[in-house]
Amino acid sequence: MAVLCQKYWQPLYIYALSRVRTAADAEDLTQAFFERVIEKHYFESADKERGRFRSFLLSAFQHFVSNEWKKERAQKRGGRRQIVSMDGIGELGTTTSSSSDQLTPEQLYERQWIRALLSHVMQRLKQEYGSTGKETQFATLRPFIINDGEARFADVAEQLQMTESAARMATSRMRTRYRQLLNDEISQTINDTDDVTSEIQYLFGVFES
Amino acid sequence: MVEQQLCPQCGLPLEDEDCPRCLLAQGLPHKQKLPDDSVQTTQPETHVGHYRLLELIGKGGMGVVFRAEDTRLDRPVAIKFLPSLLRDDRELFSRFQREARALSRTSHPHLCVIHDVGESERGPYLVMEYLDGQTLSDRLKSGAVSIAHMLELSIQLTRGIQAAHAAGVIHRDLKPANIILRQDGMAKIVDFGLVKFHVPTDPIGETQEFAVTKQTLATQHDQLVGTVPYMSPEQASGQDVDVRSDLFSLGIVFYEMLTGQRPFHGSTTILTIHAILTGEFTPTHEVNPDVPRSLSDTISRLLSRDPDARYPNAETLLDALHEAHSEWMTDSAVQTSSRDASVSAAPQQRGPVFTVVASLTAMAVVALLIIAWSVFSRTQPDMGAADLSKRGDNRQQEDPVIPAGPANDVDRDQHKDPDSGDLSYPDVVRGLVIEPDPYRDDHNPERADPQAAAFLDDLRSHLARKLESRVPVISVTAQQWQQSIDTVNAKRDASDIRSIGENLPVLGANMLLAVWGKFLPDQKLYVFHLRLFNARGHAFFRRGFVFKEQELLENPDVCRDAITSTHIFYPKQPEAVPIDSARVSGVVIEPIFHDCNDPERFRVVTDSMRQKLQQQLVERWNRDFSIVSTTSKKWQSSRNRHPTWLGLLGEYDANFVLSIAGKFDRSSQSYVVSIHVTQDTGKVEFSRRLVYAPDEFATDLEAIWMKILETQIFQDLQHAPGGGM
Repeated sequence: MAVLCQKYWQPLYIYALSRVRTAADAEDLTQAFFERVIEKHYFESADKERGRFRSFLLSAFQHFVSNEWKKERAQKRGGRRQIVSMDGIGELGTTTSSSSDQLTPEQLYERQWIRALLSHVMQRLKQEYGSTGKETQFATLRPFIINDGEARFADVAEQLQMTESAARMATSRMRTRYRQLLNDEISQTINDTDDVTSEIQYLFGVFES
Repeated sequence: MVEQQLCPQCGLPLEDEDCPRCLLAQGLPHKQKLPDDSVQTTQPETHVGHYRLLELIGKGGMGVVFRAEDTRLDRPVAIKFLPSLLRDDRELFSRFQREARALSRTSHPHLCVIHDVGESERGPYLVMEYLDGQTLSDRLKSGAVSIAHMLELSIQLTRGIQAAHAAGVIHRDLKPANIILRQDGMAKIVDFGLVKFHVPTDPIGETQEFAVTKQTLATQHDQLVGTVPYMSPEQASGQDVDVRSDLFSLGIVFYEMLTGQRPFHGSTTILTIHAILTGEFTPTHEVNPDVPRSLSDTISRLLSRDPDARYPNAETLLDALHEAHSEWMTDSAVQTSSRDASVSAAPQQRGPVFTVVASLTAMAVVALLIIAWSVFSRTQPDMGAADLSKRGDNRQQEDPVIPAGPANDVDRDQHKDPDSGDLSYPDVVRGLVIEPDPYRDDHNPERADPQAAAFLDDLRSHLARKLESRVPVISVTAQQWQQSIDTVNAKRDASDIRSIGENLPVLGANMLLAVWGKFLPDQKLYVFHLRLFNARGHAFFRRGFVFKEQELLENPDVCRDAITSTHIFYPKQPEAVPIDSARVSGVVIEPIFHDCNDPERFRVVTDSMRQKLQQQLVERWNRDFSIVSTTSKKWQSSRNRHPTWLGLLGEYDANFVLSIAGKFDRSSQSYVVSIHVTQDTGKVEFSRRLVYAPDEFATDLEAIWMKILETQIFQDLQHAPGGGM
């Protein structure tokens, strides 16, 4: 549950930011929602009827915002709260940019959702490399996950004290593992029968507008 | 003001360390490759001529390909540049030019279309049509394709290669990676970088010139050109090749489509070449026993070591494939109708067979209510649906087997339906089984509801009548269904509905329509589910309907219509979209279907329209495509021989059907004329309805057909480049 909250806190917070006046209100709103989620076991029920978890979560949040929050806020302001750990959520309120200004709250949410998902994938990959003592290799090769960088393999090989072909192989393995983890994470947010590739294509398109 | 940083790969404004779009692209099987240093100068969002580069979509030894926008014609295109570091390579440059020339010599729906060539600061470039889809190679990673789908694709590919050969072009690198399957089901052959020209009138004669080289696979007379596992023996041994070499490669592609493996393989390149030269392989039907012998023999002939033993040209191969296709469709239809007859004759029984249980949570009910609301908001079937339904009902008597159009519409819907699942297998629907109701709850009689049961019986028979006009429909009893499952799949767990789909072949169908429902007493709501499974058991269409108890009891017909008017059962009325005239190689004007209370008058009007239209198409736009206007008899006879649009259109050397149909709508007391343009894939490209008052219809024929000529489709044809005036 803590992981879920951490993963999805920021996308919802970004959405909330576009709906309320201040960052504090947005934070308050998001926090209240997660309290409700924990109280009512929303994620458990969502797991059974999963569908696209992203959409489920947003509609639940929208529902919460429109119907529940005002009441909730009046009753609970200053009261006891179940605090969700925000470790790993990252700095808040810094992501709004000129390009974001033209996006709808839903688009902002989706983009933030994707960022959170990708960040989680990268975190998993880093942990895997760390657990086998390959932190340096991860740090050195990480940029090559999205950049072919053919011309620079010689430099990388030297840094890692391996042959150029071994560096290429290590990069290829890292890309493959990254792809597996990404597919795994995405498959957890969609129906079993849904196609991960189609979902990635959809997510890819979220950045097109 | 701080300048925003852009992703050096794709140009996206960056907010994080990594570009999310590029990170996502890494997860795609056919991943968006990223530029290397040699092409860094070609940044996105820049212009080349009147093309705006949008993103890099491919990179290979022969160049980089960008998705771009043609700002003059406002259409997506693909632009291929020679890699900057290789621009000085004379051989590569020559090969690049070769592709341009090859593509410009060919114009066919199943070959990648070239729009333009040019020279820029970044070097020469080719502007091609933008193809949105996946490669056959990617598709095959998830296994073999169905026989029906393979037949459709093989005919498309053979047509494409036939056109290339007719233009004097031998591809020499036919392989799944060079075949793009567009989302609408159309296959396209791409990558003409290794072509060689020959004299088309002499398929095995002298060549005009030889190809140039690639770094690894050179083109000198005694060197290898192509991709080893797909090479013909003569190609693999460095000999001269002719059109029959392409046919050999096609044979390998066909084999792989049906079996998921290549006929010749070795652990090393040398061993693969050895296997090709030895010419021994396991026949297709032995690897996949479902493959008909005739189709297997066709492929074996293509894979003959001796070119003389193969089909002499693509035309003869096409004939063989058409024959195999017809046989397959006929066999399927016969199998289905015989089973259908036996099934229909059996008494309707329902037993406590299914243990599939789905618990609807309150959350799901809320979602379903929303869906039901949207369906209810258009409870009255739209005119198009009604019209098509009517046409279908009348054709039912004439057509034992119906074209693949509805299947494609189903597939198209999948792409748009947020509920849809597996989108990668656009199978042709060759039959549909309506599953017995597993939710009748015979296990728990106290929960069974006679009202829901009666409603479902009515719904199923209504749907069967509706659908039967387009695909054979088998409605089975629970007992028959169970017997089929037990017989075919005794070892499987039949309680899993996903495994049920795999038993469809025994019923001569490849789609399963499941309709079930139940009553939620505490909420006084009836909940019904509609699911469509393909043969792999993937539920690619799902929809829920929720009715209030009172609603269902008082107005069952309205509730039923809400379900049966779901768009999946009808070709969707699409938005009027500009037609790309470059893709129109021919038009068949379908005989008019007369359906009104004044058939004679209508016949005069529609015949007049058709003649005027044909005249206008030829005279005003002088397009280089064939226009065939058929009689009902010819149309039907062709339809009987070629049960799909694809085969049918091939018969007429065309790839589009223009149909003009009409009827008298009693409710509105008006004449309704429908114009549809349907692709060979079954996709409706254009649709327009024109409604006339009886007086108008009776007096002003000229105005009526002029109005039709003013519709967007004909305007687009008129103004399209190449359309001419």
